[in-house]
Amino acid sequence: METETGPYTTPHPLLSPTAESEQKQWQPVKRFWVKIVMFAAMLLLSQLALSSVLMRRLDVYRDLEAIKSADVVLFGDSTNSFAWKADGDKRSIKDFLAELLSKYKVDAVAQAGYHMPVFAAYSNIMASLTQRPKYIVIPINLRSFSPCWLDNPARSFPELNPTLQWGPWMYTALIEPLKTLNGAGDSKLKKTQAEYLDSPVFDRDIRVGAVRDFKNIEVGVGTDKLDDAGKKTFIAYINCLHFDKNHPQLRWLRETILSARKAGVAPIVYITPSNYELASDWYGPEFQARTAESIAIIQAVLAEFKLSAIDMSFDLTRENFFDPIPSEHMKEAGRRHVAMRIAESINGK
Amino acid sequence: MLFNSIQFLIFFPLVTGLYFLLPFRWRWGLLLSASCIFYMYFIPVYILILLFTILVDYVAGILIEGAEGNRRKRLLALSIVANVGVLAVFKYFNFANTNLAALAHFIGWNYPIQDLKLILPIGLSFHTFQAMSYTIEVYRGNQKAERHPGIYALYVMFYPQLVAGPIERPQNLLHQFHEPHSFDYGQATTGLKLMLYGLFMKTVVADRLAIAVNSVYGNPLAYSGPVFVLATIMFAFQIFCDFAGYSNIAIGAARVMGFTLMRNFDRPYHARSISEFWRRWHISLSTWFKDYLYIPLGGSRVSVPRWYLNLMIVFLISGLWHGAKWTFLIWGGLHGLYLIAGIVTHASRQHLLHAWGIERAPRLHRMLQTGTVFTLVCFGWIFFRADSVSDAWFIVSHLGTGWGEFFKRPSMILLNQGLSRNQFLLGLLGVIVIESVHAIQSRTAIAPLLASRSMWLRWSFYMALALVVINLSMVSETPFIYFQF
Repeated sequence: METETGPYTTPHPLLSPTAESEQKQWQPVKRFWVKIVMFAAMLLLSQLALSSVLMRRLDVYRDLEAIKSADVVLFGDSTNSFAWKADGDKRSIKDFLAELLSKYKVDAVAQAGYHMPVFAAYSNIMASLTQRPKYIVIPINLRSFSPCWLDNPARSFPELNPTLQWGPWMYTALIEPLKTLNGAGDSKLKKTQAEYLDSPVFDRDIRVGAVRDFKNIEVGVGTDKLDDAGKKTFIAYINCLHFDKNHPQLRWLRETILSARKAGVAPIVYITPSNYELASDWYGPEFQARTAESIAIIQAVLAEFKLSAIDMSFDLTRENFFDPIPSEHMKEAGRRHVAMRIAESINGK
Repeated sequence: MLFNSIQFLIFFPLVTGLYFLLPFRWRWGLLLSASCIFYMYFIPVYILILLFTILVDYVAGILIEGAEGNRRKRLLALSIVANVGVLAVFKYFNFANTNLAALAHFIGWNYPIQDLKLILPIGLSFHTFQAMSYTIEVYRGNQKAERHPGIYALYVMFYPQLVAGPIERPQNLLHQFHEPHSFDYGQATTGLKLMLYGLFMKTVVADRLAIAVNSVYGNPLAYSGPVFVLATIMFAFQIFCDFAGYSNIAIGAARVMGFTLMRNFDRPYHARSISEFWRRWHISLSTWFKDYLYIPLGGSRVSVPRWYLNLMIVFLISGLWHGAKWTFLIWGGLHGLYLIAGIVTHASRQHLLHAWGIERAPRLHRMLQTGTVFTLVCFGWIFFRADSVSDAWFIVSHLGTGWGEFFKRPSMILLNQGLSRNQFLLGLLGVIVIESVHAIQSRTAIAPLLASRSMWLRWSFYMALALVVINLSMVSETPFIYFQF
């Protein structure tokens, strides 16, 4: 007797009890993954939407908007806007400049602390923008060449490069959240606090200590207790009285100028006024000679680009400054003076 | 590896996916390898310390099971000495040595022994206590000795709870490694939700509060009473959110793979007595001390003075477990004193409650109790958080200063602690959210409550929580506080 054999007598492999139970086993996995993918997609969309609002809080967003809409962009730091408490007019250098250059739209890209790589980064991004300014005004602060300033992690703005690289929107949406998972490294510009404190301090070519030796002298608080020798070393600490054409600030200055020119933007460079009279009182009369040497090096670098800095370093007397130490924070007349010299330069072009 | 790191973001789904794809017989190997990688992210060579205790306790477990009488006791003692010995060398040697050197200096003796230059292995106290609970339970006959060396190693090293607990018991965890877990949708989603909530507690709340706490406790000389009070309350929530956040992530990560870990926190700041606080705070450690120290010492079934002594011993050792510092010892001692004072004053307090009629106002009574416990716990946190006994003493002795200024300009004082107004408000909002969750939990379980809502509402809630974690987490290099223990 012939028995029934063949494909119709055994259940289909997919319907076999094993396959059925396997199918049942994988069903929750499938359901889980479908929901996870849906959730992730919705989360991503919500995050992108939310970031288009949240990005507006970033300084970089505001700065990029300024760069896109202005004819003259004034780079700078607190010197741009710090006013003396007794100033009758507390407006910033940018405001005074806008008043003088009425046919141009003037805006400022000013961070809390002076850092040339910030200018280099903004200048670099200009080529990728559809709207660009006609001029950028680059200040050179001679004090920023000192290790106490240059290497300070608090003044290195490590978020700037990734923000500019990714754009404020993508940075807010994706890169910033990764930072909380220690996933986004800091900028190469940033030194650690320990490295910073170990940075050597020179008075010309004589080493007078490291940054950590001076950190307990708070500017304007501890300086009144310094004797004459202490004041002299303090000036060496807050200034860099001897540098060459390869100083990092000058490398970044070159990068800033090159990038601006590549983007078709004309750079205007000026050396900020500082309270050289008070600095000379503390350091000695040779302070001015040291400053003149530094300016000559800067002008030589600028000459590579057929540029010359507007030299305001000895323009203002001590009455124009208000800090208790030799610095660049100017009273109203000083800020007006800087604006006037920049305006003269632009109008003369 | 930190739970709030990009490495874990890759590690966790990879290990979990492989876990369910692999046949059951290979799963222990996968989890053990993953746990080794997880641990070796900190200081790789310290895995040798773990291997040493694993080897000792694995062999001890088998030998104890087969031994009788005094030999059994001796083997247990040997295993405990080996475990405590590792703790003594890495955690307590320098503390003891420094104090002995100071004493020798005080009495004019020459003391030549130098401190050891060792870094404390991460989570040492956690896995040592977990390993000890195994040999003790085998000795007591409550747990069969584990014959599979890999599974035993996994019991000590299971990565979700390896470095900061919960400190598991073998009866709860060990058998789970012998059970084949198939993927469970409910367990997986519950685990992920717990992990998300844990991340919120750690990165949004704890790390935000840490900024103010570190600023005040890092420089107490610059502050006065109101800021100390505020910073200490902030620390109470920081440490809770930090540690309970870690526990939630650990429990959630294990649950996704089908493992159930014990609950470690149960709304501790809702406790109405100090003993209830310890039934709600770091439950896996409190029950460890209860089972393996307090009860063997005689617990409360001894004379009253001995009972008080037992309590004091347990809490002093609990203080030392947290760290080899006088501040921790004082913190433990304070909690011991609180408990003893609670027992001593129980009758008179009941009498007062009755006399003042507070018994008839149960809500007021509960508020008074919760408020008192929270105040006492916060007072203890001052010693726990302060960098030194002198700092703690400075804070305690200046708690009464600066209140006049505070009443004149409260916002100036409250915002003088290192957090901007917005960050302070966000931290405060985070605490309110956490306490609201606790208030709901005190009436009903959260999971079924959420499950009963529509999918849109649930998803909106999870989405909002995820967006808050993504956008409001603090960029911080603060590791989980309990890692140091």
